[in-house]
Amino acid sequence: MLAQAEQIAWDTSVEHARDVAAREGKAVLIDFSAAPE
Amino acid sequence: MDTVTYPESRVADFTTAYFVPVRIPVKANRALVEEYLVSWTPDVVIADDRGRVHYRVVGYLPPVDLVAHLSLGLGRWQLNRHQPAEAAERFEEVARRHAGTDAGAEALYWLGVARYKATHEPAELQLSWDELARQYSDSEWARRTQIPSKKS
Repeated sequence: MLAQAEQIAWDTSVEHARDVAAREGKAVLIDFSAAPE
Repeated sequence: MDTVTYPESRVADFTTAYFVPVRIPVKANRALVEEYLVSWTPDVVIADDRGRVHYRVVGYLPPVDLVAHLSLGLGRWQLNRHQPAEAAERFEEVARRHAGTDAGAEALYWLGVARYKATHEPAELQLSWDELARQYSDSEWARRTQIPSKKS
């Protein structure tokens, strides 16, 4: 059984994610998916 | 990935704690696909705030394996940011938690590199690489530590 998870809050803009990463000192994780647009 | 891997708590918690996660559907983002050299999905890229790629994971992985590889990616990012002590802690944790797996072997390889960069002591490199040879003698990562001698 899967544990109840905090859902991942995906950003949708790489540029915005880079800005947040620079501010917070984090790396950017980009999930390239073939999911429906 | 959305069905099993991402909803799992370890993956969600790790991702949220250490990364700024962004999801890019490939069909609608051809420029980014070209920029990040994405030729197959799923493709998870760990990059910095300047867009430089530090690690990538291609293909489906179960939750425990994805966490291991995200952790390796985080360590590589730290190593490239000249934070070898932090990277060594990360690689050490992967080596311990994922002992016996491909990620465990990769972690020992990079643990040696990170410890060497942190101390400039060749013995620190050798310590991890000896452990790699002992635990994973048949692995590609162990072979990567063996510098061929010049033929006379």
